[in-house]
Amino acid sequence: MSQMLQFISSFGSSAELRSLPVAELTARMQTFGLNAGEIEVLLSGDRHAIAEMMKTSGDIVCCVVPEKPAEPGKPADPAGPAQDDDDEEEKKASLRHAV
Amino acid sequence: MAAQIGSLVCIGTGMTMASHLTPLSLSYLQQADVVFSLMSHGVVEKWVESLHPQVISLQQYYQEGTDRKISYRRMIDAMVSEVKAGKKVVGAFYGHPGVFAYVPHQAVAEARELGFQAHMEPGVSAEDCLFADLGIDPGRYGCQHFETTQLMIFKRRLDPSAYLILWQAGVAGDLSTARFATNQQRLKLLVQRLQQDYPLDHPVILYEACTLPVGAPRMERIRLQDLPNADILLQTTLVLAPSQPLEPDLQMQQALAQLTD
Repeated sequence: MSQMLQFISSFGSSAELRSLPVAELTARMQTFGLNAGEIEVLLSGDRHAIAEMMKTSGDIVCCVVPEKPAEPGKPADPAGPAQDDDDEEEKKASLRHAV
Repeated sequence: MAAQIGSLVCIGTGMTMASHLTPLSLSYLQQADVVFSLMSHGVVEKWVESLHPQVISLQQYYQEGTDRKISYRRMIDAMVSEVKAGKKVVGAFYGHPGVFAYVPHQAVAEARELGFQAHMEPGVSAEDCLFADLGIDPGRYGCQHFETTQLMIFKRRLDPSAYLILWQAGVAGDLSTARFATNQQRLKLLVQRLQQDYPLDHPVILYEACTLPVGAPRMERIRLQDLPNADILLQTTLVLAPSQPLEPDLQMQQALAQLTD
């Protein structure tokens, strides 16, 4: 994975690497120590195959999302800071629309 | 109040690993005593770890079934406590740290409240990538953005003569803030809402920016009516082109034409 990481880090910031013809890019990949299977997947551009190959034990499963109204009967924000009045009103309104 | 020792900078690493990090953000990251990271992919997280010897992942605070507000609180506390300890803290977030990101905004606000220096450095957001990949200029017809669930649970007015971009369709209709997926029933309700302003056969683009530089963005075109059966992921954004032409405001045009200066 470290060789792969080095290659894609370089590829991510290099206009030169991105503009290479396939044969030259393949040769460069080999200098990073990538094997034939890895090179084939990367060159395919197949999102799913690449995602599958790049899976790590710490894969990210979520994105940062903004606040949403709480479910009815639950506190609006059990862990968060105190909300100002407008925010509370907004939440109440959102629940009225939601239920 | 004089600024205390200890500082916080929330930076954006951009959407695509190693491609979008600005020189200034990289410099802050390298100068930090400790870096907290929230990345879009395990490999991207490893890349950030390669840039600094002490990187702490904030992903550990996310858990399916745990209210995200609790996770956020823990993330903020983790960062601010290091600031209080007098350290130069960097919070590195994928994309733009101020876009669809509660934690960086709140952490900066709380650090400032405590008298510490804190600010945010912008990064390349998913929106920026979307405009480039889809060839959309938001200035052409106008562009409206909504968080998908907000659109569903509030009475918002849509303008079908402008672009419509719906973020976080992957958690559409989730009121629990503890799920990491939507489902067919919720997506049907989303279609029901959009149907008020768009025909059912209106095209919808399912967009996902590149997180790894070796991949390609997802740009899949479906019909609005097919949305409940589509593969909608957490990172999927919905893009609807205008369904109606711009309607001239003749009264305003006349008034403008009559101006002498």
